[in-house]
Amino acid sequence: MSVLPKLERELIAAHRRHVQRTRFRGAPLVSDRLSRYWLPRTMAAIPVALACLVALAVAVVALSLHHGSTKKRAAAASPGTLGVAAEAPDPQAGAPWALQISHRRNAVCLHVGRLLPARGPLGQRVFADADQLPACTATDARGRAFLNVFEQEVRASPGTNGPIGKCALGAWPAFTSPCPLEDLRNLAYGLLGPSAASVTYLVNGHSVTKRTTGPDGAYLIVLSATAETCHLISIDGRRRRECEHGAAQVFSAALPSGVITAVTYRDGHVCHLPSPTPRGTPVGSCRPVGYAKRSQSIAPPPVSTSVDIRRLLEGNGIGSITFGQPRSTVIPQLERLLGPPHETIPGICGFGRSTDWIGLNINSHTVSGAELNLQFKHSRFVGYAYYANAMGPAGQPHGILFATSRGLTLGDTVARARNLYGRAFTQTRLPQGTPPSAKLPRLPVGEVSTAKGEISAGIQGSGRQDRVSGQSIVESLGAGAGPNTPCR
Amino acid sequence: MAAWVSETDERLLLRAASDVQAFAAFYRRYERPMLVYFLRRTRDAELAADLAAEVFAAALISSRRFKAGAAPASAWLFAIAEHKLAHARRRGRVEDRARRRLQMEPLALEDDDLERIERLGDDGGAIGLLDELPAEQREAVRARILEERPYDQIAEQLKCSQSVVRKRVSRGLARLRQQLGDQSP
Repeated sequence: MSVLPKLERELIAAHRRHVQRTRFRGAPLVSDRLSRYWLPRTMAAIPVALACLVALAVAVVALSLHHGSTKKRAAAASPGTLGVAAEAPDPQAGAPWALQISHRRNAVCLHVGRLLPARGPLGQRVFADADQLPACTATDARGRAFLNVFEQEVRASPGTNGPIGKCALGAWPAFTSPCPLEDLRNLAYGLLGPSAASVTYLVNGHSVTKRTTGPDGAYLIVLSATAETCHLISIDGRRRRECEHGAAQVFSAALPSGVITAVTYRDGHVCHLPSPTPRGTPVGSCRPVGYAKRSQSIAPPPVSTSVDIRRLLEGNGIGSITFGQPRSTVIPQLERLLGPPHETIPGICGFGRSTDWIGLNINSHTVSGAELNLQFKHSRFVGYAYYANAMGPAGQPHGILFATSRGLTLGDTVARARNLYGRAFTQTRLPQGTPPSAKLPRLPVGEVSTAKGEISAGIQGSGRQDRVSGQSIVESLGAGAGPNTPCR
Repeated sequence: MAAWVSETDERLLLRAASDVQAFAAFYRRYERPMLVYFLRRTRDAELAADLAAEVFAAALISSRRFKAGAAPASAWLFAIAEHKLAHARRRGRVEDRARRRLQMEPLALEDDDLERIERLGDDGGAIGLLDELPAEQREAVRARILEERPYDQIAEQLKCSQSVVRKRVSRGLARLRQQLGDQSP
């Protein structure tokens, strides 16, 4: 008897669907069929021989293509490697790194991984996902993607340290020893668009220029992590440098300063970025050249067709949907307003599930779109967060806009919040992370005291210190508990 | 199902991609260790269940890529678990990519389910006690018992003879038994 029979049943059902799907796709189930019908071994050799012949034919065609077009081969991202958009050598002479692009509906995702020494059945190189989630972005009006990612202190060899792992993965008590520096890499990768021709960056003080590849202007830079790039953290009141796996991640359509010092475009113009210094990198960015704004948001509102301001955000819930109500009554009530939720994601830190509506078009002048996350604990509604998101500019005036009872909503300024709430609106700074991390900068937050409880307003600060002024924008509103509530 | 009970992990995993009974047997064999593994690290039954579900879904998807001999099946599975846990901690929520790919319904956990998982935390004391063993015994017990690796391979890794490894495993297990005996009411 298993502990979770319903999970076992669900997995078995998933297994059946998976097998049917792979059979339908014609996946290699030759060995399965052979064993089922007890074909003699000599018969089994026939498909193998056929596969070899096909492989030989592909190899001959590939070779002839390469001989016939040397220039094209140089321009291609990686001949013989399935779906690889860009490659980079490993700075510690390990297996080369590669960038894969996967296209989804209205979105593009980037996957970073290693090219294994082993070859596939047709002699192609084998891509293995690294210890990273894909980075995804919405495509622009022309279907192009612009995305720049910087990930610091990524483990070079995920999962190779045994089942438990010997590397520290942050300030978690179960993992005590930090990853050795030689096992960590800093990755800069992305898509600069078709106009970009090359990127320039520094390696040990020397300038290196690398051509972008493919129609998306793909690039991949892999650098060794250094003690200088690791973060300064405070442990027991003593400050010391420590490298932590996945310590920093930056995702943006505009290329921020940090690794790349210049982008050269095909028309000859160059965008220069400040070089990193021992004290950090001055802020700068290169705008996404050729980006075409979408005329409407990615996910149009499912129900409403005109702006519908609902003054619903309260300190104890959303309108009549209050904290403590069961999930089975909360979701249908919001579904009537917003349509079915887009995703339900298992939570962490004692939280059950987060049900999310994403890409809500709210027609704000300053906020492109919104996302509503509901938090549940033991299937009871315990918190919500209403976020401004960056899924593209809002278009036509339609959608649902949530606001507090006095009218504060996403995109409003801090000055307006003060006008609406007076002394009941206070500013503070909260630590980030679960558990709160001393490494991450404290976020500026406004707290609104209401008769029904406290509402927290995330404020978009400016500059490296996240300075807040009267013109700073409210980018989130939430109340109750959430995964970012300290839970230890 | 009974036919698979006596099979090795590796054989189960190799057949799991095409044989639902082999996969079910593999799931049953590793369900408790996996839940205990996550429960000890998260101290949350609901979270442990979500992580375990994602790990088994990911294992189902990638079971075709498992190669016997490269690493024990248990090590392969726990490497996925480590990976999922790291992601969850970094992102603040459990990844559900594998479950979405398999079109699995979100797991609706009742209080009974959560209690059963929480009870595993008490039963899983042996794994907790493992951390209290001297380092050399802990390494040897973990490699031999949890990872099911052969003595010669462990000896090579720990740079000692096979007889020394056997002694460490034996002493470690004896100590665990003693400690478990001490804890029982």
